[in-house]
Amino acid sequence: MARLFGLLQKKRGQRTTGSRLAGVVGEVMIFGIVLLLGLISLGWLLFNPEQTSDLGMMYVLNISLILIGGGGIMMAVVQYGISAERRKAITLGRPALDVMQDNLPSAHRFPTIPPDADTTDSPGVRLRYRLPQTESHFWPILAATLFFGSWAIVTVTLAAAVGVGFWQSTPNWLFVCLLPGCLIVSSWSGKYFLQQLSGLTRIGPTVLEISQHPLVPGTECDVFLSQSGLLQFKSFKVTLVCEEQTSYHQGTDLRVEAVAVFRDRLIMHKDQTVRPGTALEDEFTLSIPETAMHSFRGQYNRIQWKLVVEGRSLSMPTFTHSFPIIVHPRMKQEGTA
Amino acid sequence: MNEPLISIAMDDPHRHYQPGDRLVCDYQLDAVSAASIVAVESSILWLTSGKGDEDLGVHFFLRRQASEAEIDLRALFRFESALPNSPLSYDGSSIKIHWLIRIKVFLEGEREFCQDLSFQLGSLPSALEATA
Repeated sequence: MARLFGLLQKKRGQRTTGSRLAGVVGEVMIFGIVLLLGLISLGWLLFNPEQTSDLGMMYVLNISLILIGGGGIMMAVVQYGISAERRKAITLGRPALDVMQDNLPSAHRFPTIPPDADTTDSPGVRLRYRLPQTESHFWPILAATLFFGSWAIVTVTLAAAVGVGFWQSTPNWLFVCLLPGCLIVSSWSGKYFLQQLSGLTRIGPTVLEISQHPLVPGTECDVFLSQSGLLQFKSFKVTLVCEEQTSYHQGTDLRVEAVAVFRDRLIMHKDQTVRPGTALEDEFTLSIPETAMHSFRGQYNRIQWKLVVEGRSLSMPTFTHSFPIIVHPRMKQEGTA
Repeated sequence: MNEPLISIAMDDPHRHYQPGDRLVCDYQLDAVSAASIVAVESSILWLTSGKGDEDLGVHFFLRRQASEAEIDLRALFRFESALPNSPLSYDGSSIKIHWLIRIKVFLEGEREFCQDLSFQLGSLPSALEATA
C-alpha cells in the first residue's frame, strides 16, 4: 500500500537527488542572470544622460546585484571543485598532511565537546563550582509586559472611542463589537503578566553547586541545592537528564527536536515552605552511569547533560530551571572508553 | 567505463579502536588506468545520521594529486593517525555518530568515486534506556 505523504516529517532517502554538475550549472545560470542584470543596469545608468534624484540608491542596487551574482558564481564553481571533506579540513586548519606524518594537534583536547569555562569560572560557597543557569527571567517578563501593555492601550483607546460614540449618540458599532474580544485578551494577558511578576518576586534564585567539573562516566560528585523565595511548594525535585537535540531544515523552516535518553531523579521534596531567611537546602550525590555518552556539540546535533530543577506550587505556575553540565569520555588510564 | 575498485584495509581486523590509538590504513586502486586519475583524497572523519541534518568532522585529510606525484596513484598506499578523544561512536535514539575512512578518487572528465569503511571508536553501548 502506498504511503501517505508526511507533510510534517523529515524527508527520507538520499540527500542528493541529482547530478552535482547539473546543480552547479543551474546555480551558475541563476547567478549569471543576476550578474548580467546588474551589469546591464549599471551600464544604462552610467551612459544615461538623464539624472534622477535617487541615483545613489540605483547605484547601490546595481552593485549589490553584481556582487551577489559574481559571488554566487565563484562560490558555486569553488564548491564544485573541492570535496566536502577537503573544505572541512581547510576550515578546521588541517590541510593535506605529509605521508606518515602525525596529524596536526587539535586545538581542543576533546573535539566536539563544549568547553566548560562558563561552569568553572564561578566558585561556589559550599562546593567548588556554582553552575550557571540557562534560562533568563528577563525575556519572559519583557514579553508579558509588552503583550499586556499593547493590548491594554488598544482596549482603553477602543473603550474611550465607544464611550464618546455613545455620549454623542453616534456609536460606532464595529468598535462596540470589537470591545468584548479586546477585554478578554487584555484580562487574560493581565493575569499572565501578574503571574510572571509574582513568580519573579516570590521565587528566589535557585543555586546549584557541584564538587567537581567536568564529569566522567562512572564517577560521582556532590551537589548542593539552595532555593530561596516566599512560597509553599507542593513538590520540588532535581533530575539529571541527558538529552539528544537535533535540528533540521524542512523547506525554509529550521525545526528543533529534543529527546531525553536518560533521566534520573536525584531528590524530591514534598510540601515544603520557603520563607525569607529559611531557604530550602539539600546536599546529595550525582552519579554519571558507566556507559553514558559524553557531551557533544555539532552544528545540527547536540547531546546535552543537565540538572533540571522543577518546582510545583499551589499558588504559582510550575517553574523549571536547567543547569547544563559537561561530561567527558573516560580516558584509557581511567578505564575503558 | 567501469567504476574503479577501491580496496581499504585497517590494521585492526575488528575495526575497533580506542581514543588515542593509532589507526593504520592501507588502500589500493584497481580497474582504472593510472593516466585517468586526477587526485585521490583519503580522510578519517566522523559524521552524524538520524533525525537532524548531517554534521561532518574531518580528523585527518590527505590529498594526493597526479601532477604533484610522479608515482602511480593506484599503488598500495599507507597512512596513519592517532585517533582523537572524542566524539566516540554512538548509537543514540535520534543521533548516531559514525567514524569512517573515506577514499575519494577523482578521474578525468569530472568523475569521482568514493568508498567508505567504518570503524568503531570507543566502546559505548547503544542509547541508554530512558528512565522515568
